[in-house]
Amino acid sequence: MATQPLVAVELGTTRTVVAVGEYQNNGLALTAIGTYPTTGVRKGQVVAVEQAETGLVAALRQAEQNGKLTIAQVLIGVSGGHIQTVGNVGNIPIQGRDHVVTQDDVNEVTELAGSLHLDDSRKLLHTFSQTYSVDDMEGIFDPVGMTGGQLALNVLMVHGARARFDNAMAVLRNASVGVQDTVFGVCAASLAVLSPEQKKNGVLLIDLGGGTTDYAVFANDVIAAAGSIGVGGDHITNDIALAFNITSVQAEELKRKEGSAVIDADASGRRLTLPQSPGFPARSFGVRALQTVINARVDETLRVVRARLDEEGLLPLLGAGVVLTGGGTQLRSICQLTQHLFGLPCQAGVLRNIACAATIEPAPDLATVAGLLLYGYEHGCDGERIRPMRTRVKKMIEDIFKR
Amino acid sequence: MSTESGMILVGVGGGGCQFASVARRSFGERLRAVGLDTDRQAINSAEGLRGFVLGVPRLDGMGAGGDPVKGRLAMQDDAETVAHEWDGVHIAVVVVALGGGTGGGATPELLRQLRRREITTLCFALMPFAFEDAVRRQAAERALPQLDENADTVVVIPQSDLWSADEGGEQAFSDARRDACRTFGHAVSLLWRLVLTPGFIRFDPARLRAVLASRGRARFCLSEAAGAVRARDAAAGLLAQVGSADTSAPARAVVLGILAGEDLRLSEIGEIMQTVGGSLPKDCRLDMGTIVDAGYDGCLCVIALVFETWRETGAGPSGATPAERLDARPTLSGVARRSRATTGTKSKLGFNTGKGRFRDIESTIFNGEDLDIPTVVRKHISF
Repeated sequence: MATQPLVAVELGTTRTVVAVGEYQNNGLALTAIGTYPTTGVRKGQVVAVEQAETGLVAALRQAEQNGKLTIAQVLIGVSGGHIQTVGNVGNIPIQGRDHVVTQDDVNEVTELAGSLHLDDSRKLLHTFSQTYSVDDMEGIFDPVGMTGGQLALNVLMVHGARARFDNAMAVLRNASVGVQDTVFGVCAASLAVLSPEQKKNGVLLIDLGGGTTDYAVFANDVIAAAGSIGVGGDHITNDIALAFNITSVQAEELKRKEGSAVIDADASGRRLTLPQSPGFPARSFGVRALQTVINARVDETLRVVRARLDEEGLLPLLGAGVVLTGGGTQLRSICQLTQHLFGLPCQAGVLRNIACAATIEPAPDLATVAGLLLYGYEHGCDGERIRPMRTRVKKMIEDIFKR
Repeated sequence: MSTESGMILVGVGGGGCQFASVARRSFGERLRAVGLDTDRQAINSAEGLRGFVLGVPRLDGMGAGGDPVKGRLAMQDDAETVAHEWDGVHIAVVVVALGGGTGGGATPELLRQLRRREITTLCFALMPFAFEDAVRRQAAERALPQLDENADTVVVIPQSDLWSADEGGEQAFSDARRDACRTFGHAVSLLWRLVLTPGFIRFDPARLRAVLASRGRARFCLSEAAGAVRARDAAAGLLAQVGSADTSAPARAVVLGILAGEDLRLSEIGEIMQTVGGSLPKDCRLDMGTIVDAGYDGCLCVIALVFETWRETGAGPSGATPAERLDARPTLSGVARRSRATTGTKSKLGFNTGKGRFRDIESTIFNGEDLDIPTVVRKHISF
């Protein structure tokens, strides 16, 4: 039996995606999608509310038409270089009978671990519990029933700049949709593409977005690190446009058609010719030059991720390799380069246990919205989220008469 | 908060704060000093520093327990708390004794934060004694590359070198400690002395900043002499430490301070400069200032910061950018090989060196590099 549908929004840098999903037969089904090119968003952050709203409204309309529903509330995935993580530890004495850990102790230590004071300019997105320790025994997942003197819990807290989130909320508010929950995009994507085995053995998920490169590390079944770098596919396009003095549109097209994360062996002899366009002269240059520019950017971005993980000593924990999601997975040889840089097997993410309507291709760039829907169901967001069309029309008429 | 000199001394971790405290005592109140530590008790015992206990919510003022990750997180937690201390600062001299958690973890993070504020950094990194346990020595070795990555100039001082005056091992511990502290105090306070208590020749702070910002590793050398030929003896003693052009790591730049009492003669300055300058490689830049301190009457002390490497601003200690230095793995066949563009930042294709669509948005900075600028420009990759 199907549950109430949920709606997820990814206000991306290059495109806005709206996905509608229902929980059917113990699995998620993507029933409708709406997409529209985004303007007004850079590096995952809203820089022009009205422009971003235009793309969102268009994507919402498309999803509404495809899904034959009216969208009133959504789950939103967020990203941006302002998103940071901080680890914290809660520690309490075990004072119950015979010093046995109870559920109340767990609740108390969870609350304590998540009570780190953040600056007012920061907004807490998630607090992920990692592992417990009872006295000197570490790495415990379920401490209830264990005996000891001290109970500690490690948590990973994800937070971001409040003002940046507020801008995204303004876009949704202007588009007349409410927000059920806000989720860090790559954490949502992990729900859609990572298996429990991968999370247990240690895996790095990299979401190659248009404006940002986000990552999350799972090891021993817990999230060990997450972060966002304000560099994405947009930077590749910009590098190409500047390198060859061509328009962004031309650069984007070249990236899609001839782009490669590594330089093709036969690239040297091939040339590309671009006709003259207003303000830009006709250009001719080699495929090798184009791929050199792309390779330099992608190589550097992945090294930044690697450096961050290296700093936290996480690289040796990645037994299950690297999984890539996002639009950047469409870049040819991206897995080859990632595999080389990390010295680990790499694969493009595949939506796991998620059914898609016939018109929807289950591509890795839908991982975030699919994960948002899974997150919504896991956190009980389903229910009366979709208003009947007539209710909304009625409200619009009421609003007109109020003016 | 403004500083008279535009400089600030920052001690990080237990050892760093103790040494910073020593350096401040050797110069006095005009040297503004801050101490950052995760251990409340240790910071309280460091005299003369404005102390900040880092990461109290997560560590409760009990220290980082040798874990550099905790040290780094603590520094991140309190970045805003200490930020006002950097107002008006152009040069930060950071002192850290590596081997522990706070020093090894918080210092790279602090250096990053200072770099974001465009503050030039000189980091004195004290390495553990050879007889200390392997864990501390390994922790220090691991932390050092991160200092190189984030500081403008790093001066590495094995703690055993500070105690080298006691060569025969016969000196009482307290005397040896006093001498070691005095030597280190001279090293760290050299910059303040050059700027704030000049003698005949004042060292311009802007010049000092330019020298430090040239970035790389540096060594600290000190030579003292007394008597009729003290200038000659001090210069010779210094040269023995600096090394001449035929050493394996020739000096590329030297900042020299001549410290003496009111009896310092111009001819002595000339002799030192002639002796030292004549022995350095031809392309070595020599910057000098004199310091007159009545307490040094009859004695002459020559102090030098010797820069072993000399790189352009924005590049790493070995001439490579930080990201290039990450490139420790072999290059995949087909991946671009990096080479210096002969035309600087403008390629044969007429490369526009701007940021394009990112010119009007907050920059993405990593290790001091603006990632919005095309990678091929920053790394001088020809294509």
